[in-house]
Amino acid sequence: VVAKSLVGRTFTYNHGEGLGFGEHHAGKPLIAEMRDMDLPSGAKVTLFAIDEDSKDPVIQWEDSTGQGRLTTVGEDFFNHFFVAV
Amino acid sequence: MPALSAGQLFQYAEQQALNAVFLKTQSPAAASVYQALSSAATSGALQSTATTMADASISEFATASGYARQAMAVVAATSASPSLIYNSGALTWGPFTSAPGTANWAVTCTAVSGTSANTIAAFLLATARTPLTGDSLQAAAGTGSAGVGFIAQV
Repeated sequence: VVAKSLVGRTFTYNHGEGLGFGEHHAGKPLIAEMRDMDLPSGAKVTLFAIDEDSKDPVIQWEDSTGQGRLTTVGEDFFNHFFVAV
Repeated sequence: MPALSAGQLFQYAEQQALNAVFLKTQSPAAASVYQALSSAATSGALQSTATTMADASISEFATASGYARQAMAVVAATSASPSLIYNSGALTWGPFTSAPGTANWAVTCTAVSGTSANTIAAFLLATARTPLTGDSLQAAAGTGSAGVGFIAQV
């Protein structure tokens, strides 16, 4: 379980192959419209909350249009691809 | 139980509003509200008596799909009768890590996660949306014009 004490900390999403978050899960390149709204590798995110029910981390980040986003990340994926700054 | 229509307040919010404007209690403190997505059927499924997100009628998307409720900024209630309130910016859910199902409704609630969050209002989407894995789902900023944004009125 990701510790609640980490809420508010900054992390970098680092994908070894440079894939976006959605692109990784889709297993193929996204269409341009979806790519623009994807979380790119190298992006800074903030751990916003721990989901009350699943206990998975909820990250806050800005997409390429500057819009604030909240996304739930599986615990194992978070521990593998998100590095504390 | 009464079914909801688009933009209608849930029972919890109706009580909060009435108790505040009739000076029965102090208004709740200012805080963030969050917009959830629901796959409840478009007719007759969502009940106005659902006071929390735990209610079986809500049918919220599962967070295992990468879904999370989005913080929703709203305008100040308009100086008009009926007075309106609506989202001031666009909202985007995802990217989804698995297909979450079909979204028919958006439901405003009081917390970013958890079934104990109280329900505020429900909005029937103009078009049902079924995002795929890797997709994001975006709703436009409200304008106050009918059909544009998540518009609620008492």
